Amino acid sequence: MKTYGTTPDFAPAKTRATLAATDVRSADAVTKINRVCGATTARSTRISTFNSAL
Amino acid sequence: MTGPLVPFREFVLKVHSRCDLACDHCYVYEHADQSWLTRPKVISDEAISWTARRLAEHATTHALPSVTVILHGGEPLLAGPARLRRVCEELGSALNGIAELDLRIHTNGVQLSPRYLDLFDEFHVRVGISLDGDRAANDRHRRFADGRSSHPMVLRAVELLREERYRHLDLGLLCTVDIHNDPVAVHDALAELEPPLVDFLLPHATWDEPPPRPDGSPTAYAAWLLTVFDRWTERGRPMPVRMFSSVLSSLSGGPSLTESLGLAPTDLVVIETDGTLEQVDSLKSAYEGAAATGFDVFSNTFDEVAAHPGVRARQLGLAGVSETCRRCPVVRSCGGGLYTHRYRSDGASGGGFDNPSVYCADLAALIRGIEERTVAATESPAVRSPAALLAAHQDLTRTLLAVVHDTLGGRGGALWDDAWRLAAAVEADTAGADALDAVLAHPYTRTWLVDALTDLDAGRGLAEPAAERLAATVAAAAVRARLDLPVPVAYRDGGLHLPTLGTVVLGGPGERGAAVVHPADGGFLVRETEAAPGTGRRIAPDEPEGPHWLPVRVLRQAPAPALLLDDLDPLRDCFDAPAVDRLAAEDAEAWAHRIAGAWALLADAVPDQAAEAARTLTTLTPLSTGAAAPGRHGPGALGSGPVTGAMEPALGLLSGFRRAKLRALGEVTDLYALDGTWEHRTPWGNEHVTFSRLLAETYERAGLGLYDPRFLTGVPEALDMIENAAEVTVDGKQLIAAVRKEISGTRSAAGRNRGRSLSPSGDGAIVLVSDRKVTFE
Repeated sequence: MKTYGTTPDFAPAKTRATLAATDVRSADAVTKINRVCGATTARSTRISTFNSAL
Repeated sequence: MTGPLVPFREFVLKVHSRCDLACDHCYVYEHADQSWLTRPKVISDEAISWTARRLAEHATTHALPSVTVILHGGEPLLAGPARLRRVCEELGSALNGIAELDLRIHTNGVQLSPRYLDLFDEFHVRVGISLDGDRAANDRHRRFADGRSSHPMVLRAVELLREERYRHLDLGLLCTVDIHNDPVAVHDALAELEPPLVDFLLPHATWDEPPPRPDGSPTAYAAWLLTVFDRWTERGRPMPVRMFSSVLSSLSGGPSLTESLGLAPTDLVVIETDGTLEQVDSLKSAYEGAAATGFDVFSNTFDEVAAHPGVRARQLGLAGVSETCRRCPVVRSCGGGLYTHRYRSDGASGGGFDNPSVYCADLAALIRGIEERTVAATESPAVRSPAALLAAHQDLTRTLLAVVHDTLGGRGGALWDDAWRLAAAVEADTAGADALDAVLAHPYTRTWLVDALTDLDAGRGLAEPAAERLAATVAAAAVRARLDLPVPVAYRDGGLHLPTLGTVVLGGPGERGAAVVHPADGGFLVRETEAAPGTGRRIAPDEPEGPHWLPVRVLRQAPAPALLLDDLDPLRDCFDAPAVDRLAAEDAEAWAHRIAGAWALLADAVPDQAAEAARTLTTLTPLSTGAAAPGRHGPGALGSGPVTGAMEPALGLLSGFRRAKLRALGEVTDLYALDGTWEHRTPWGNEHVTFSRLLAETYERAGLGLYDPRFLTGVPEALDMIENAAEVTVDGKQLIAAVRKEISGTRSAAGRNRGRSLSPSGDGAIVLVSDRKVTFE
């Protein structure tokens, strides 16, 4: 039996941004990365939490 | 009170202690604490200078990247432009080169004019304005002392702030709730002004001074806010609303966004006009002196205030809320409510803040109401769709690679820079983009990128093999796509490993060097950089294994799907058990037979699970020992030690697949939050475990229960526990619903699998540790 040759497909084809245009700074990107890496150097915009101001 | 000191990041600076309005709901003037009567009207030069000095000291001590200073009052504009200029100059100067200064001001808007806004533009002071909604709503409380309306003046201020020249300073509108107002009219009036942000504040109240409830309803405020929520939704969410965003965030496992909700530690402090340091000043609603700390900026550091018991009490997370709240499933979202709203003077322990909020029923109804209204839209498709799960991981891997590149900031070296540039060239070709996706989706790509980013975050720089991996990845993609694109690579220890393809042997152990991979004739040519032109190793598309080429084998034996048997990737040693070296051909054949035998059993007994595994599992890595299990890699891989027979590998594969699936889900969505805060007792082992452990064991047992229903003992009870736990998120509940559906009817099908009795000796190898106490029916 042949046990090598064309490898199976790994990923579904999907339209997406190029690597260079990939979002790396947004809060969404930070959340994504933090799930697998913990704290990273990427930072999201800080928000004020004081109840009596914005 | 124990735990590390939480540094302050938000500083409320009272620059004027009086107000030009006489709002009858104001906590500063109308509630229990009347300390404003003894404060200087305007902040002094000395207090400004010492505040700036203390801020710089605090930011330096705690290496804070930024601090937020909110100019507040009274009415801060009454301090006048000259005083405000001095504040901005001194703070900016003191923090220059130490931390970013985020300056804000919150005003009633009455005095706001270009004179102030030009000043704010100069120092980038962003402006928030109080407005309670439409004119009728606003005039219910926000009037001058003589009863005149402030509404026209506030609207003029909002319009001025919306002008092109000042729009970048606009923070939004703050609206205090009064349930006598029409919630739809309030919403529409605010939305019409197109603010960048809105927040709704519950009027300050305590158990001693409860909020008005005209119709006696314990959830009147929730009903009012949910009417606003519905209108906001109906209008397409025209602006962010901090309160709603906070609840939506915490329901999905994220942080709360306001001190009035959630369990995040408070990190704000108030500096009064006389330089005294106070806890959050809404406490003035509780009792005279409630916010006092006894400290001031002249004599005390901010660290001293941060260690004050009153401040610490609001930094304890779950331990800082009442016993009732600690047992409540919505506490992660409400956090016990605003600290001030918990106060009662006649509590069982002699009065204080150790109570649920006076708005407890409202907060619970609001959170549940928002959850019910949004659950369908906020659920991640990855939980129910294997294709969406893979797509989310593809996106995560690409984001990781882009973040590594961004973090390197040009310091990745020539090999990295060349490979990054060539990756763009590969992506520009349709087949190239697909091929790059395929290589990036290889499970060990994730291992590489997570390790690389961890190193960079720890300041260790990019390891040479990590830079080389990008080149090898791009080269593998170019080969798979048959692009006419030479890719510079580096080899080490005599081998160049092209992920998903195989290893080219270019030298002996320990030898390293540079080479170029050039796709050609469906295969590729590898030429060492120092070698003479026309030389090199040519690898054909179907090149068999030989002294210079070790292909990654693909197991192809029905009914198992095609799977890589990856015993070559240098990053594959990421499992609990060590990965073994390259298998002999006959051992690879034996693997193919075992997997096919196991798959036949799975396809018969659990066809849905087998089909999903066939679509998502791509890679098997032989380990020295142990049952099938996932490791530290992207989705699609399992490692396994040598096993014999078909039954044990079948259950092992199913068990490993369930664990891998749960891990993959947890990497792209939040199934729970604050894991470890509470303990749960497993129905099968009577053992106290964290939520994540309870979920993992339940998910695995439910999967194995599809094969043999005896594994389902205790699972329904565990699912109930999970669903009612405080930790579970919207997606966690979605997963539980999917598991319930999976196992529904399983017991009636029990007879089908009864014959597949498990070997008792196999139990411990298949299920998680606490499973040892399980008793089968």
